[in-house]
Amino acid sequence: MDVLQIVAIGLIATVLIVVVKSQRPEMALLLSIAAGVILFLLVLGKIGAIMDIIRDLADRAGISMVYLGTILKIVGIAYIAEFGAQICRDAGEGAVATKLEFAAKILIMVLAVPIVVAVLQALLKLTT
Amino acid sequence: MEVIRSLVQNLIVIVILAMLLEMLLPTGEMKKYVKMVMGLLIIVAVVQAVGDLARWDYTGDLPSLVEKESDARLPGIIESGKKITGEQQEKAIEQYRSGLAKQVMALARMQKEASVTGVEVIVQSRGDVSGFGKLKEIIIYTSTDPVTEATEGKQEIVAGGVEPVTVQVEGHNIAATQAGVGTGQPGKDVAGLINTVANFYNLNPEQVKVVCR
Repeated sequence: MDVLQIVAIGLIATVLIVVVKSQRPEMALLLSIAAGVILFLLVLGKIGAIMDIIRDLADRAGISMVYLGTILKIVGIAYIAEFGAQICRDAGEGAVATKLEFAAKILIMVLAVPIVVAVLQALLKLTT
Repeated sequence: MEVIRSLVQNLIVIVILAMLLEMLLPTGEMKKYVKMVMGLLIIVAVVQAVGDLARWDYTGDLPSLVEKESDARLPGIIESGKKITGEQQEKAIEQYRSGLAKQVMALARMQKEASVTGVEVIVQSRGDVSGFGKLKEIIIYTSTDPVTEATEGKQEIVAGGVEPVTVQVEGHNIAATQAGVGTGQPGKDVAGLINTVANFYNLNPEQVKVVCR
């Protein structure tokens, strides 16, 4: 059972972090990052299956792969930024976390520009 | 009816896709941004589906911010593609020319009277000009001395020498090019050779030249 493995790893990591945190806070942070990476690697194979389904659905709906690729990139950026910001907050660096999130928002907006322009063009053609 | 069915089917698939993507969204600060972009995507998909139904050109020129890197490489790729095309065309034309020269040589040697020593074929080799690969001129080199040719280990006399000539063929006056020895009197053998080669390759007799060396 994958879920048991995942929960076990999460609980062990939590206990270790709680124990270590009082003595060595920097080691606790490293443990937290390691636990996050292990959990991500455990579900990485399954993410591929979900992506295949989404691609198949988009293909059936006739959605251009350019749009879907943009959306998937945006979701990826959001997740990575979220994880990074949480780690920063755990380490007590709320300011860095905020800036990290700000950078991610800018990247998301940059990637969204083609879609926004496509919608605007469609609307303008509709009105003319 | 079929079109409406297809439209409804597409919209259902789009909604399911949106639900799936929404489940993938991260919780927290980032969620509303991703959700906004996803909403735009769904608007585009719906407009696309309706546009397909109405056969209406809904698409504009999509600004390719994400494809900038590959765009920058495009001129280089096109340039190298053109270079490769040019090289391949050059090779092909060279092979074609040497094959034609061999054919003409074989054809000319069937004329037992003429002693052919070499053949040069000139074709249209510029790819940008119309009629690429078209046969422009054939120059046949003949010798005044009898030519000997090694055939299966023994020396065999193929043909006697041919005088440099100016030939009258089908009303055209064909001047034999001078080379080395000089131009001589017209001869029936050379006229026949020119006629045969010109007819075989559907050329004007002026395009076939005989050079006596």
